[in-house]
Amino acid sequence: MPVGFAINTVNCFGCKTCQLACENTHLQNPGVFMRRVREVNATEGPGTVFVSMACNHCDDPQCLKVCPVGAYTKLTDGTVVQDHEKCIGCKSCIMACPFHAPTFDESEGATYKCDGCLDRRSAGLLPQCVISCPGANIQFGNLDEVAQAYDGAESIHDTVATGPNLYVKHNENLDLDDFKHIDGRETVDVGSVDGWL
Amino acid sequence: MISEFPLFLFTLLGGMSAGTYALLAVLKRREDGDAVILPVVALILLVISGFALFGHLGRPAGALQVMGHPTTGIGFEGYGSLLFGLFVLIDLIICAAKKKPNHVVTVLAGIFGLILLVAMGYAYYEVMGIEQWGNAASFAMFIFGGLALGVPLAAFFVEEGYGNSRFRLVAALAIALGVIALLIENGVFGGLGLSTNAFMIGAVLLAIAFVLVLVNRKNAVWITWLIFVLVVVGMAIARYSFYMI
Ligand code: SF4
Ligand code: SF4
Repeated sequence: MPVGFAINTVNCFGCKTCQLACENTHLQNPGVFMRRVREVNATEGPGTVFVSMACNHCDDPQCLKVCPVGAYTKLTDGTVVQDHEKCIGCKSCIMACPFHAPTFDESEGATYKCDGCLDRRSAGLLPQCVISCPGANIQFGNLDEVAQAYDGAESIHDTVATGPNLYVKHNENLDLDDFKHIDGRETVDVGSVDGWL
Repeated sequence: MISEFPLFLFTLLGGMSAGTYALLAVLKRREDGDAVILPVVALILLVISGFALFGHLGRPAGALQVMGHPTTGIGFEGYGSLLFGLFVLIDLIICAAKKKPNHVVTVLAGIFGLILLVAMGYAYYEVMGIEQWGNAASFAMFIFGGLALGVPLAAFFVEEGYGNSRFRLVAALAIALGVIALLIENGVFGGLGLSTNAFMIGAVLLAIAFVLVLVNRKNAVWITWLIFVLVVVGMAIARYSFYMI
């Protein structure tokens, strides 16, 4: 079983501790986030749903396919890793990823992407986002284990073409199909997109 | 300004250069001393578009690494640009030395020009994370669009320009394909709830150019320039909107 995340959107209240914990652990440049909490204004029901998401270590990672310098590799445990030194900052991976998970650092002219805290995991620790969430709303590990983390969590694996390894506990305010629209925007109005001209 | 302005420049100017040669491959070029102007203009367009592509990279110094990955969109575009540029350069040398073009070289440049247009389409087709790009319509946008962009430049390098009935036919066909490409994008963007105004404006301007191509039997200079402006402005407006992500 490959590794992946599980998130509990029912209990997430959008405090963004996970986002900042990730930034503080890995990156020094302000505004460069590998994990982002997106606000999803759902099609039905009241209020906003918060979706904390980083890379979902897809089975068919588009980032890996399009990177023109071969900066991406998929490890045997399923983790998709970026070799940051190879990156030439073309942003192809950001544009190709359905969730725009890789993030561009203007000051470096290069892209960063979540590797599920590979360094921490090799030291026997959990990823920083997992331990920092005050509501324990993020889990990471082998998919068969994280699938059980939250009652009724469902996989978005077959919803998005890249086969993302993410389980989501949600209520009627968020539909699995909504993940087709959760891209780089901080706020996603599911079902309606702004005009451009 | 759009964040991907370098890509806009690359596909607009590089596409015009490649489209011109792709069209001239099936036509007879002028054989006077001015023939050399075509490869000079095409190379200038290609160099500007190449620099624009570098501008898209956060770390341009690493650009050469791209050549190790020809199956990626950017790698394919890189090889397409280099090979097309090489044949344009050969054309330049021949035109400068012999004062007239060599048809085989023009055809080879045309083939590689077409390959560059395919590469541009592929580079957007593979962008799955941007729904309006990652579909087959991107091939139409850049292949048909590039051919349409080639018309106004090619007109200056064909004997009698639009007065040449074969060129009129080829030009009208290429511009019609450009209109079709914009209408397809209109459908794709509209289907996703995005604004389609720019594609409609572009399609109308190209449709006017299409009519002018057919009526310009006497190759009137002002109509030739009007077609130039209509095609370039029409396609630029549509492309600009394409890049508004
Ligand atoms: S979520 Fe995006 S960045 Fe992560 S593996 Fe999938 S395609 Fe790549
Ligand atoms: S931004 Fe970097 S990692 Fe992403 S595709 Fe380009 S070179 Fe590869």
